[in-house]
Amino acid sequence: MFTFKLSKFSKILTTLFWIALTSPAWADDISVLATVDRNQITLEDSLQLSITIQGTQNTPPPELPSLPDFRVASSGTSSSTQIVNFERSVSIIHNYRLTPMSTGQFKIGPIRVRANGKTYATKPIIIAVKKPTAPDQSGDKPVFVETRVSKNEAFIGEQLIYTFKLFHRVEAKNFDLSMPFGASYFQKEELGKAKAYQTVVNGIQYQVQEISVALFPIKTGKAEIPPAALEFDIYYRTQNRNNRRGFNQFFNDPFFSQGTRAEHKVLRSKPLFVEILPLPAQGKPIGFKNTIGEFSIQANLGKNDLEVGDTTTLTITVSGKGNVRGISFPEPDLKNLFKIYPDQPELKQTVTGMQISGEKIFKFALVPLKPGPMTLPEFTLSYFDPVKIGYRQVKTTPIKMNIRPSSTPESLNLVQSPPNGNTIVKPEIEILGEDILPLHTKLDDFQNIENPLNLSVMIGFVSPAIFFLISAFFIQQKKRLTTDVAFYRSQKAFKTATQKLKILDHSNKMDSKEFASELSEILREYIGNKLNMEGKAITAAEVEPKLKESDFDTQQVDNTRKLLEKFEALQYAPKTSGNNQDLLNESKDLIKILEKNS
Amino acid sequence: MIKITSRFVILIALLCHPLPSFAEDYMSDVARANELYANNKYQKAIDTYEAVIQKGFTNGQLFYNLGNSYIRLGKIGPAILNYIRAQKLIPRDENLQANLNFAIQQTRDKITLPQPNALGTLFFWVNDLNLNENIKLAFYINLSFWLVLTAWFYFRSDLLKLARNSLLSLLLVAIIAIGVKLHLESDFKIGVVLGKKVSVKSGLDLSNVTLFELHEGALVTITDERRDWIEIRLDPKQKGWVPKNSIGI
Repeated sequence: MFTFKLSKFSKILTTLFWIALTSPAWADDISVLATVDRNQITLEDSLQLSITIQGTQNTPPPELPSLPDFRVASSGTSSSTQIVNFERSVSIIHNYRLTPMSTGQFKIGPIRVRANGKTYATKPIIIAVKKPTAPDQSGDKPVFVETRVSKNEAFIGEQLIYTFKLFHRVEAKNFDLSMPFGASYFQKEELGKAKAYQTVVNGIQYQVQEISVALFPIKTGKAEIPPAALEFDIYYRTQNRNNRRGFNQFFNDPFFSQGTRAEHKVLRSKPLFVEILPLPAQGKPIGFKNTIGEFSIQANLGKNDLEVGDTTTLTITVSGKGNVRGISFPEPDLKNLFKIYPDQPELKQTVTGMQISGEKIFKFALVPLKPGPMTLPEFTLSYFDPVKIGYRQVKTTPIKMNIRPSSTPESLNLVQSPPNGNTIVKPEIEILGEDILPLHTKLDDFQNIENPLNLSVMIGFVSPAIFFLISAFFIQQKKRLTTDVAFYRSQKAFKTATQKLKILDHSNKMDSKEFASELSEILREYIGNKLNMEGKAITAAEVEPKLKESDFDTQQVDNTRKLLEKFEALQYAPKTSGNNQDLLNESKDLIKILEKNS
Repeated sequence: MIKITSRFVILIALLCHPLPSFAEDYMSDVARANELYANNKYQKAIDTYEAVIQKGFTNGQLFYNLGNSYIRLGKIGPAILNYIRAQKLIPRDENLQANLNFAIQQTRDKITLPQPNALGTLFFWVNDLNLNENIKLAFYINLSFWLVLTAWFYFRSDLLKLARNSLLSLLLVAIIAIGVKLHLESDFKIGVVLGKKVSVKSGLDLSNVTLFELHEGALVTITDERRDWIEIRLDPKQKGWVPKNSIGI
């Protein structure tokens, strides 16, 4: 009894505990609070914004208002569940790191949170962002950045080197550098990976992380290179001051007594300005293609001795220092002498020191049209040398060729445009602009698409199989009825017997003897049909073993034998007394029971 | 038998017939949004389309129109996201393909949709049909198979036997194709960068190393999800973690 009571009590207790643990918080219990770790920061700092949702954990993320003056990054969520005095309280905190982009007073909020169909808003928070207090030139800063551009004045297309340096004498990690270069004024080329080295500034040793890119001015005017911004974490080693005497003296070792304090910092460089000068108009060669740097040119021919219709490759290699990518070379003007097929130029660019150099290879397949000795003319490249401030021209040497007549002139099938230009030239379609294609406006197309994996589809898939099984069953039955006599007789036995009993029921003029004889015949015929034997000749004594062989119930077999004996007694007794209707009902019931159990 | 057959035929007819949808209730909203778009009121058009979608209405043309509206406002990320959603429902729409390509060209990273893997190549038609169409195809093949099987049971002939075997093979392929479609849609989820710039980190915390950066509208494959972070992949070598709220799925 005691055990039962304890068990019941523990069940109630467990139930109450689970109700307390799993019951949803009431909508009215929900509160939302926004806090910041500090409300006065400099441009070099970031702040932590925490939005605490008390009372529920099942909410979508908070809807932050537009904060154009901050860079917002999620710094994770934390949730907690507490049960105090059977009262459960849940909360979730969404954390964000806000990095200021400009100085001034800014309002954060209200921040909205949707929960249980309601919208909750936090109170706005005012944040003051100031300029960093220490100037850049202070000699003992633990960390500072510097940007530099190789020249303050450059010609359009001339290579400049833009360098970003981080100086730090404390541990720094997790760098995230944003280094805009003024894409409207410059084209950028990478100059390899960042370098790390040590240097001394005003007698203080610093670790330096340096990265450089090559900039090629593409527009004249006063170009601004916007400030670069570097976000990173710095780690200060701190001395543990609360060491107690005695036990802790054992651990009086720097390894145990030092801790690390991390601080997220944002450092911005000053903007840089470069005056981009146009190329001098004086002395500009004809066909000058804005190639700036210092280059050489070389021409090579695959084979000098060939037949009309053969192919040889003319390779023109332009190599040197400068924006190699931008070099272009026109198709040589050899149209009356050769059929020319230009290939895609090949670019090989390298970085040597801080200078971009390389070569660009132009290949042309030449098919000679006329036989005879021939000389490929010199090819010229004009470029502007920004060091010597003047235009220069470099040339290839002429190449001699011997073109022999074709040995298989009949198979030559060159296609050449006639000089008069009688052929129809398909005009090239000039693309003037691009835009998206229009909306769908035919409302009939806007039908809702239900989830395709639903119950009706499943039924649709299964129902043909069910239909088939039903059909197959009936077809099989029908087939068996036509081929299997025993099955046919067994199937039809009940129906035949029922019909005959019905006819007998309507014939009222029969006497008891005749009635019993008819009933006996119907019952025996039914048994005969069921057991596939001649039923009319069967006697009551023969029925019993036959029915038992066919697994009929002993009680039913006994009742059948008794009823048949009763019919025989009524038929052959000198005086008969019996109620026909009772006999008929008894026969009907027996046949029904036998049919049910057959 | 006749009674059962007739009832079965009615059931099949009901299943095949499109059920009365609640689309008509939203037709006026869609028409109004289309009109707002035509009158260059793109933000209002977006609000109206979004409201219809919020009510549970799913339609490829609707996502397409929403994508167009976002493009008009210069919001490439949401535009591509809605085009991708539309593509799942109307994969053969040529205008959609053109606009999606146009939008991708507007992005800074210009990342195109990932190419189908070996499974997608083998079941090449799967990507040209939406899930509904794949199921309908299997449904009709299934219906035909069982009808032919029943007919073959009645009248055994070589032609019916050939039809039965062919339809059984087709049915198996169609059912496997549905599985492939579901697998491709669940395991190769495409995400779109919604922020102006997202730093892809080496782990599930902002203090981890930034591996690379992606810009608005960049297409990524979602490979894992933990807490508020999701793992994205551009190719087997370029993958990392980003905050969940920076990617639209």
